[in-house]
Amino acid sequence: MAIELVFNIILGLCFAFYLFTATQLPATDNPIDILGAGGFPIIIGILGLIVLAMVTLKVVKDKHHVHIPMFDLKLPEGRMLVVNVILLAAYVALLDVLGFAVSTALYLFIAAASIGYRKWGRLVVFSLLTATVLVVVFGTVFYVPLPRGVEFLRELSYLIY
Amino acid sequence: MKSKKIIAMAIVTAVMATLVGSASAQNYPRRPVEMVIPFGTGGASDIFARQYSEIASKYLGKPLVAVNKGGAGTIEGLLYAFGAPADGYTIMEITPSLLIVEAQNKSSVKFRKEFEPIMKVQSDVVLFGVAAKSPHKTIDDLITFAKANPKKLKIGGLSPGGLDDYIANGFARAAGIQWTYVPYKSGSELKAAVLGGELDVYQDKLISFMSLASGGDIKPLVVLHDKRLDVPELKDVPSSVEKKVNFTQGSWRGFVIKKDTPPPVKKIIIDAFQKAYDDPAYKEMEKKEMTNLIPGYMKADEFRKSWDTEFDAYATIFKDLGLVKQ
Amino acid sequence: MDIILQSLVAVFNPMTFVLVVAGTLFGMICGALPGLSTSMAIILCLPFTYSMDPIAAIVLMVATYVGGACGGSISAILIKTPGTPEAVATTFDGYPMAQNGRAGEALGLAVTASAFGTIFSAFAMLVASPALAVAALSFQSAEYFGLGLIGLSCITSIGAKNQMKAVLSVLIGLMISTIGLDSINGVERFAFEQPFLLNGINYIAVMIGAFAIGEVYKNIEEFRHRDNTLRDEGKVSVKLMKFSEMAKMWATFVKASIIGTIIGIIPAAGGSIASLIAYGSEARDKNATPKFGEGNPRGIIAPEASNNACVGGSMVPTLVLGIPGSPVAAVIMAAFMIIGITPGPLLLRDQPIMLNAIFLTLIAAALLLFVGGRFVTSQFGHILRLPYPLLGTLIVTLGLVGAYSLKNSLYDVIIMFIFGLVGYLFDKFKYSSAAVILGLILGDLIENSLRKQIIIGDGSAAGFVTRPVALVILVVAILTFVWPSISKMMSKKKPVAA
Repeated sequence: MAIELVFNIILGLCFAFYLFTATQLPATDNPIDILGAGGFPIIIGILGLIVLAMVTLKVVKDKHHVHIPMFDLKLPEGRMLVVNVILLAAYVALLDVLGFAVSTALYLFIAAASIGYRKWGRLVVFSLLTATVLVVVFGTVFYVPLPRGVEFLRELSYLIY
Repeated sequence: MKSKKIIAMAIVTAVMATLVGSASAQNYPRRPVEMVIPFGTGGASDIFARQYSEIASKYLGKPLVAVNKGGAGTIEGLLYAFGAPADGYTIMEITPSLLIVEAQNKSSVKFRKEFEPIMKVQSDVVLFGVAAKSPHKTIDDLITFAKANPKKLKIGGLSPGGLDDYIANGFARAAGIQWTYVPYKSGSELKAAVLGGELDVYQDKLISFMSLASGGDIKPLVVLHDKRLDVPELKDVPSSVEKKVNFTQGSWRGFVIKKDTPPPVKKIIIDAFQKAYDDPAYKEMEKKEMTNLIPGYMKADEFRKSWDTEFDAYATIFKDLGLVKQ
Repeated sequence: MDIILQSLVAVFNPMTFVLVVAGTLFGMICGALPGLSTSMAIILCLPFTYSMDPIAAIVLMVATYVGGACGGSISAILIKTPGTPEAVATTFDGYPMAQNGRAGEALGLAVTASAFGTIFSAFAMLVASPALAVAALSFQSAEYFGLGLIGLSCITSIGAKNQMKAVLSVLIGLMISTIGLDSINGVERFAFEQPFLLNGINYIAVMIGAFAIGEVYKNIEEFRHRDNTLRDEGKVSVKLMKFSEMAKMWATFVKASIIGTIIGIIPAAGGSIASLIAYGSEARDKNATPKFGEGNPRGIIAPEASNNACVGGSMVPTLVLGIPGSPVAAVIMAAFMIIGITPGPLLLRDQPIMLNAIFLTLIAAALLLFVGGRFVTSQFGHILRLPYPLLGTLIVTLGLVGAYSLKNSLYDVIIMFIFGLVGYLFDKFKYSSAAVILGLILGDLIENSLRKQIIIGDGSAAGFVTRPVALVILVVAILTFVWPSISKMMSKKKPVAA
C-alpha cells in the first residue's frame, strides 16, 4: 500500500504542478475565446485532483498489497528488469553517437544475453542479421533517415543507407 | 586469426581513405544528397520538394532523398539541417514559415545567419473568397460590412501565428478593418467549415482554391496581387492593389544550403537546380500546380535580399499581434 | 452501362490489376511495420504514379490505402504494437486474444472485418456520394465536440475493472494532450522552452511505449517462471472462423461499418477516431463473454471494420467536394493534383469512370486482403517462433524504429522510453494505459472544437444546443456516460423488488 501511496502522491504533484502552470498561462488576446489557453487545462487539473483524491481514499481503505519486482532488487527478475531498463536507456542515448546499425546490433546482443540467452553463436548471428534487415528495410527500402552517429561512423553509414 | 584482423583493418583504412576529401568539389556528389523538408508528409510543400528533387537529381547525378522533419513548426527541420555538416550533402526546402519562425524569435538557430540561398523557385498567390450562399457579393461589400461590424467576420487559416495568420491580419490592417482569425488543423477542416457556414471568409492558395471555386461552391472575391490573374474563371476577380488595399503577400518555395559550404560544391548544386528549373518537366509541373502565373523565380543574391524585407514585415505584424517571443 | 464496362476494362486489364495487387500488398506491409503509416506508403508510391495514366495512379493509391488500413492490425494483434494509428483500438482485444492462443482466429477476424468494411463503404460511396458529401458539411465544430465526448465514453467500457482509475487515466491522457502549442492562439503550453514539445506528444510513441515496451518488461519479469518454449506453439497463420459463427456477429460488422463510413465522410476525423468510437459502442455490452479487453472477437471486428470503412467513406467528400475526408485521403488528393486532375464537383462529371474505377478497386483490394493477410502474417510468424529473450529484444528494436520514423525524431524515441516505464507501473497499479491513449487522441479534438465553437458563436456556447445534430450527439454522449451508473442502480433495485 505504501508504494501505491507514493505513486499517488507523485501523480498528485504532477496534477498540482500542471494546474499551477495552467493558471499562469497568458490571458488571451481574443476576448471571445472565453476559455483561452488555460481554461481547458484548468478544468482537467481540477477534475484530476478530485478523482485522484477519491482513488487515494479507496487505496487507504482497501489496503491492497502491490508488489513491483522492478523496485525489488533482491529478486533476480527485479535486477534483470532494472538492467534492461538501463540497457534501453543506453541504447536510446547511443543512437546518435554510434549510429543505428551499430547500437542496434549491440543492444540486441547485450539485452538478449541479460535476459538469459546463452547460445552465443546463434545470438551473434541473430543480432547482426536483425540489425542488417532493419537497416535494409527501413533505411534503404523505405528511406527512413535512420540515425547515423558521429565522425567516421557517419561516413560509413552513407555507404549502407 | 591475426591475418583476418589485419585484413579487416586494411579494409577499414581503405574505406576511410576514400572517404577523406569526400567534400572536395571534384567528385561531388559521391553519394545521395538529403533534401530536408521541414514539413510533414503529404502537404503542398512536401510534394513540391519531392517532385523538384526528382527533376534536379537528373542533373546532380545522384538521388536527392527526401527527409521529412516536420516537428515543432519547421524548427525541427531547421535544427536537423543546421546539425549536418556544411558539405553540400544536406539541402533544405524553405517557405515563408522559416522567416516567420525567426521573426517570432522562436528558435535558437537564426535561419538567416546560418543558411545561404540556392534559389527561389516559385511563388504562390493567395485568394480570398466566400461560400456561394454568402450575402457578401464583392470584396467592397465585405469590407463595408467589416467596417460596420468590427471583429464580427470570421476568417479561417491554418495554425496560429503562421503565414495564414499574417495574411489575414496584414490584409485587415491594410484595408482598415478588423476580423477574427480562427485557426484550423488541416485544409480539409477549413474548407468544410467555409462550406458548412461556420466561417465567413475563406483564404487559400490558388490551386486548392480552384478546386472549390471551379465547381461554384466558393465565390472568389479578391486576389492578393498587384494585377488580375490570367485564369479564365478568375478574370473578373479584382486584385487587392486595384481595390486600393496595398497587401500582396503569398507563399513561395525555395532551397537553401548551410553557410560555409565550399563554393565549388555550392556552384554545382546551383547549376543542377537551375537546370531543373529550365527542364520541361518542371514547366509541366508548374502549370499543373498553377504556380506559373506570377513570377517567383529568383537567383540566389536577389533571394537573399528578399528575406530581409519580408522578415521586417513579419516582425512588425507579429509584434502587433503579441506573438513575438521575448 | 457503357461506363461500367469501361471502368471494368480500366481496372481489370492485366497491367492495372497488377497495380491493385501490388498496392494492397505494399500497403499491408507498410501498415504492419510500426512507424510506416498508410500516408507514408502512398507518398512512397508517388514517384511511380508520375508516368501513369490517372486511373492507374488512383487505382494504385486506393489499393495501398485499403491494404494499409488493414495491415496495422497484424502487429497490433501479434506484438501489441499498432502498426498504424488506425489499429490503436485493435490492440485492446486483439492482443489478449492472441495471448489466449487464438492469434490465428484474431487475424482472420481482422482481415474479414477489414474486407467487409471496405466493401460496405464502397457501396455507400457508389450509391450515395453526392448526398452524403452534402450531409458531411453539417458536421462543424459543435458536432466534433460531441463526437469527441462519445469517443471518451469508451472509458466506461475499457475500464470495467476499476472505473475510478480508468477515469483518472483518461484525465492523464487529456492532460498530456494539452502539451505543446495551443492550436487556437499559439501560446506555448507546458513546453518549458523545449522545442520538441511544441508539437505536442505523439500518441503513437506513447502507445508503443506503454503497450509494447511495457509488455516486454512484464514478460521479462515473468519469463523466469515460465516454460521457455511456451511460445513455440507452431506456425501462426490466418484462420478464418466458420461462416455461421461470424454470421452471429453480423450486427457488429454492420454497425462498425456504418460508423466507419460516416466518420470517414466527415473531414477532420479519420480511421483512428472511427475505430475508437466503433470499439466503444461495441464494448458497452457488459455481459459479453469473454469480456471486452480480454479477447472478445467483437472487439476486433468493430475497430477493423470501421477503419476500413473509413477508406470508402473518406473518398466521398474528396471526390465530390474536393475536401479530403481523412489525413490519408488528403495525400491522395495532393497526388490527384500532381496528375493534373482537380477533385471537386466537376470531377464526377468530367471523369465518370473515376468513381466506378475506385469502387472496383476497393472491392478487388478488399478480397485481396485475405491473400495479403496470409502472406504478411506468415512473415511475422517466423519472428514469433523465436525464444523470448530474442523476441522481446526484437520487439523493443521494432518499437524503437517505429517511434523514430513517425517524425524521424529521437525525441519520440525518448517519449517511448518514458512511457514504457509508465505503462509498466500503470499495469501494476491497475490503471489503464488504453484510457490514457484515448484521452490523448481525443483531447485535442475536444478542446479545439469546444473553443472554436465558442469563438464562432461570438463568445457564447449556445451553438451546442441550437444546432440539432450537435444536440443529438451531445445527448447521446451524456447518456453513454451516465447509463452504466443508471443501469447499475436499476439492477440493484430489482432484487429488492422481486
